[in-house]
This record gives sequence, structure tokens and C-alpha cells, in this order.
Amino acid sequence: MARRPEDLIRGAVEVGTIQTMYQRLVQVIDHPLSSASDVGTVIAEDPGLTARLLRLVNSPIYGFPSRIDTVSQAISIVGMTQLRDLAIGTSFMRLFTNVPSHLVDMDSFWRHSIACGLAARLLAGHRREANVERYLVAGLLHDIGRPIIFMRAPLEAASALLEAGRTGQPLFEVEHKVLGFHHGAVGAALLERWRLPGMLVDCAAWHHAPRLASRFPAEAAVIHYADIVANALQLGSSGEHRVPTFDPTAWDAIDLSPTVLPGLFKQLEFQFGHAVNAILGPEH
Amino acid sequence: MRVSLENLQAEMVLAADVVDGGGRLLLPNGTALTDKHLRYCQMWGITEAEVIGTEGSEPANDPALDPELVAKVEAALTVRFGPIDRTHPSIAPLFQHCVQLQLKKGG
Repeated sequence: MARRPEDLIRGAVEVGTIQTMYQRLVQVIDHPLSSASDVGTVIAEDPGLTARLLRLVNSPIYGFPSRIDTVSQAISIVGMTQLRDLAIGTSFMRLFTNVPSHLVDMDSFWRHSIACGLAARLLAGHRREANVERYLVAGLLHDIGRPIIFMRAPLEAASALLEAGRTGQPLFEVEHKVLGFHHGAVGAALLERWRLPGMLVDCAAWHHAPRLASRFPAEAAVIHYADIVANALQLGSSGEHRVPTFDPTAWDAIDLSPTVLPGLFKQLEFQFGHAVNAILGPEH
Repeated sequence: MRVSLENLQAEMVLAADVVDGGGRLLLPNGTALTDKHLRYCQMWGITEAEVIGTEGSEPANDPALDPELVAKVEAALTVRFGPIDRTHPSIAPLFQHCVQLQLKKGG
């Protein structure tokens, strides 16, 4: 029987608490009378999240000269929407604890996601985007459909991995052949279901074909190129053994001079270890 | 002379302004660098700076490259990159960076 991406996500991961927190953050931020400390109060209810966010904003990625000790301080510096996005983006890791480890090393998976997010964030910075943090989050979540496939369709996933290894085809193309859709569609269905912003949904759905993104093609193009960079530099792996197929029109949409790239790659490598420590925890 | 970040040292004196990607002035010409400046340069993503110096050009980081090793590394990376056009302006510097990275690891 033909399956659809929606069939895989049903009951796949329990996101109850994260979604509740996200909805509350949206409500508080949208409320005209709310302040940074109101947002801080919501985030502070989750001590793990608070620690993660403070580690992140105190890392050299942000490079603030003095120490940031509270969530409300972090908000006044990084921005309210930006901190909300970081809160949601860094909360998903602990939901994926029962992914079959013989199919994917989740530690390596998140490293790849972090590398993609950092690369996208740096590209967005060069593009003078107002909120670069949502690119970090889009990178963190772009491959989120893949662990779902590993959990819900382990046999198909195993045969796709084998075939990709044997033929040298990109894994996402083999997934499509085996399942009728690839991890992009699964991830998008999941993020849509969680009612996350359309930009994150589009980036997950279209990071292998950004020109097909109907709402956020430029954002999807940034994630497309960032994913290629993360794979090429082999900073973690989401199961892909090759550099994914590159669509040159994505680079036109990103609209940057290639002269920024050598510096950007160096900066990415410098930031990578710090971001892994901040997001996955100091033991990594 | 132009010096890359990893070779910049405290007490070197800037021979040109250090600016970020958008042209914003970060450190003015004539600044004597301190360890703090070097740390900030890393955070700001500065990869090189012009400093006053008479010792000639920057010491090369790379030992004389073995052309056979370079060819081996390039061949392995060519497989990883598959059908991607490596001459594309956004891919060529990425490929080059990967080659350098592998060579530093010793192939």
C-alpha cells in the first residue's frame, strides 16, 4: 500500500511540552504589553533550555564582551523573536532518543544539522538579514524527516542506505525511489503539524529543490547551499555519504559575491565546536 | 604585509583599517594588536589583516606539497562531489577548501 509522509509522522514523536511552550512564547511575544522578563519567565520554566540558551549566547559565535547571566539579558541583546526561535530550535534534540542506532548515529546527525544551521546563519548575515537566528533553526530542523523515516520505516531506510552506498546516488534520491517521497516531505509534514513557521516548513520541504519552494524560495536556497557546505566539510553526517546535488539557481537566489566564501568556511569551522558544545551539551 | 589570522600576534601594528564584510570599521589603521583584539577578530570572522612588518612575507603554512598526494586527495573528493559542477563560482572555493582541509589531515 502506498504510503504518504503524513502516515509516517502520526504518533512519531511526542512534542506536547515543546509545542505548549512555543505557543505560550508566541502569545507572550505577540502581546503588546509583554516585556523581555515575561518571555524570560516562560523560558525559565525549563532549566535545561535556559542553560542551553545561555551557553549559546555566551559562546564566541555571538562574541559579546561581557557575560550574559539571565534570559532577559539575552533577549535584550539577541532579540525576542530570535530567542524564541533559538528556544524552539534547540529543544528537539531530546525527542529523538529511540532512533535505531545501527541506521544513524544521532550525535553525528545533530552535528550535521548544527553545521548546516551555522553555515546558513553566516550566509544570512552576509545577506544583511534582520533575523539570522531563524536560519540557524532552519538548519537544525532541515533533515528532521530523516530520523522519522529511520524510526517508522526502518526496513525501507536500511535498503535505501545500502543502495545509496552501492550506487553512489544521493540518499535523498534513493529514499524517493523506495518510499515515493524523501525526508524533506516527511520533515515538512511534521513541522506543519507542529504549527511551526512557514519558513521552517519550506526549508525542510525544499532544501534539495529550493526553486520549487512557493513561499520562501530564497530561504530554502540558503539552506540548500548550507547543506552542501556542511556535507562537503564533513561536519557530522545525516546518513548522506556524498555531497548532495547542487542547484546553481540557488546561488543566484542567495545573491552574494563568492569572495565571502573562503572566510565564511573558516568562520564556520571556528564556530562549529562552540555551537556543538552549547547545543548538545559540554560533554560532546 | 598581509597576515592571516592564525599568524597574527599581539604587538603587531595594523597597516590598514580592519573592516567587516559590510565595510564597518572594527579596528583603525595604526592599532597595536593585543590578545583581546585577536580574540575579537576570531569572533568577528576576520580572516586576515594588513600589518606593518619588515620580516618579508608571511611564512607559508604548508610544507612543499607532494603533487601525488594532491592528486589523490582531489580524486577522492571528486567522487564525493559527484556530478556537481566544480567550476561554479560558489563550488570552486568550497572544493578548494576541502582539498586544503584533507591535505592538512595528511590526505
